[in-house]
Formats: sequence, structure tokens, C-alpha cells
Amino acid sequence: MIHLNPTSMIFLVFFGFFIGILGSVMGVGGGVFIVPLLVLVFNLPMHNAIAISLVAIAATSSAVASVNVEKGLANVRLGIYMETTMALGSVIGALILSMLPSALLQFFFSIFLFPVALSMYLKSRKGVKEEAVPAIAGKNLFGGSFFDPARNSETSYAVKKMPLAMFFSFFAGGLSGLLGLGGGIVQVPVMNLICGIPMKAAAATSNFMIGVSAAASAIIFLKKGYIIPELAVIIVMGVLAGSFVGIHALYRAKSEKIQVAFSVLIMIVGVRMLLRSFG
Amino acid sequence: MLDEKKFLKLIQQTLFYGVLASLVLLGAGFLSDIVWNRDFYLMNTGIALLLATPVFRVVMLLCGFFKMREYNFAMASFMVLALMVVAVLI
Repeated sequence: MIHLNPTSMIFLVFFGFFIGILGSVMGVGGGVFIVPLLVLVFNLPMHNAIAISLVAIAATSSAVASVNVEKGLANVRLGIYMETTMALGSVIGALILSMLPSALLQFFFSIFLFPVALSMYLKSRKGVKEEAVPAIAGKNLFGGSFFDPARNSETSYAVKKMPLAMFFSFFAGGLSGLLGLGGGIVQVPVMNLICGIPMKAAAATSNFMIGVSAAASAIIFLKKGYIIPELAVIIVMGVLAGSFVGIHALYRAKSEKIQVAFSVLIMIVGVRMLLRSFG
Repeated sequence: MLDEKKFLKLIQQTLFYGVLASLVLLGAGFLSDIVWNRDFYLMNTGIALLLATPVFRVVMLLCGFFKMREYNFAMASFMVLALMVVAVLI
């Protein structure tokens, strides 16, 4: 059991606040930052760190989605379809992938992240014109629309290459369960680069989705007693405050800027995983 | 029949009240821990409710899509719910 003094409590609240903003703007859970902080700074065992990280991811997801669903940013139909393969991936990943060496998986995953980061960065340089597909949006089963304050107009879009996106969603579910990540680091680029979904809708839909896989895994950790309530509560408080601030940032931010920030985030995650895979 | 606006409102409210209720429990639990050094019952209940909120959201999606007769999406919601149960049981 760790001892929390007032300074470490304040630090954790602010850290949670930062993760909440990151999560709501970019559609990720922030597990890639929470786990190392708890392990390296607070000397927490890996299982406890992953368990608390999953609680924080579930909190961000529900808080952000509670706003984004009604505003039409989170696409519930697309989300629930992709959740089927994501959840299947989580279950199969827990059963089969855990037999594979973790370092090998992290190596291949990190190699996959570099071209994704580059594609996303290059797409951000081209601008937002190619994002919207208004003419075919109505005919598309998963298409959607939302009002974008940054462009001061309604953005409609169709969803392309669903089977490929669902395959990657399965892959994301498997890896996220194994590595303790929410899965947003895979889902957002897949939705944005493969499906052609505008960055803001991709981030919001990813956020909507990751709560399910995080909650399923976290319930298992809760049953096993890996969640340290005091620590989880402090981080969750910060995360929730940050999430609500981040939602407004998401609405006002330009999609290209989010893409650039996300490509940098993917690079950081990729480098970190590559280094970890080498031990 | 449920329309799109009411459906999205239902999902929004499920998530919002789930987060709000867990926040109240977490805050009360944290205060009682600091002031009275009580056990973690309230905090654990708050965490459990927070983790149950996405599950409630899937249940609401299932009911909503079923009422709107979008059976393919209702089936997808049911599959996600079933897989979550499996994940908890294994």
C-alpha cells in the first residue's frame, strides 16, 4: 500500500487533469502515460497500475461521451459495430495473445505505429478539404454529421472500408487487453485514415468505444483486488475535470492541429514501445 | 416509436448520471476515508458504478435500437453485451 501525502495527491489530480484533456481531445484513454507514471514514480506493481489506468480510461470515456453523443460528434452506430470486433479481440487476446511473448508483440506494434504517425502528419498538411463527403453521407449506413464550430459549418461524412476497420478494431482489442491500453491509439488513426472519418468525429467515437473494453478488463481487476481505491479516486477526479475542459477544446480546435498532435503522440508511444521491446 | 433525438438523449443521460452518481460516491468515500479513516466501501461502490456505466450504455443502445427497429445494430449491441459478460466470467 502506498502512502499519499498532500503534495503527491495534488500532483496526481493535476496529472489526471492533463490525461482527461488529452483523452477528450484525441480520443485516447491515456493509459500509455498513467501506467509508467504509477510504476516508475509511485513504485506501484504493474497489475495495480494497469487496473487504475483502466478505471481512468472508463471515466474519461463515459464523461466525454455523455456530451459528444448528444452533439452528434460520437457516431454510436459506427461505435457499436466496431465494438463487436474490439470486444471479441479483447476476449481472444486475453486467451491466445497472452501466450505470445509480450516483447515481440510490442516490437511489431511499435513498427506499425511509425507509418501511421507519418500518414497522419502528412494528411494534416493537406488540410481539411478532403475530410467531408457530404454527397454520399445520407446513403451510408454508418455515415454521420456534426456541427464544427472551428469551421462554423455542418460536416457530413460517409464511412469507407468498414470490413478493414473492423479487422483493425479486432486487432486493437487484442493488443489493448494485453498491453493495458484503451485502444484509441489504434482506433483513431484507423477511423481517420482508412474510413475517412473527420478527426473530431474519429476522436469522439474512439472515446465512446474505449470505455467498454476498459470497463470489461477493469471489472476483472476489481474482482481480483488490484484497484487501490484511494489512488484511483484521486486520478479519476482529475481525469473527469480535465475531460470536461477538453471537450470544449475539441470543439474549438482545428482538425489539422489535432492530427499533428496525435501523430506526435503516436511517435512517442511507438518509440517507448520499441525501447521496451528491447528490454 | 423512439426517435433519434430521444435515443441519443437517453444514451447521454445514462452516461451522465452514471458518472455523476459514481462521482458523488467516490467523493463521499474519499472524504469519509480522510476524516473518519473508514474502510473503502463507498469508494469501491463508486468505482464499481463507474465501471458499470459503459455496460448500462450498451444495454440502453440495445433497447433503443430494438425500439427503433434497427435490428442489425440491436444485434451488434447484444453481441458486445454478451462479450462483456464473457470477459467478466473468464
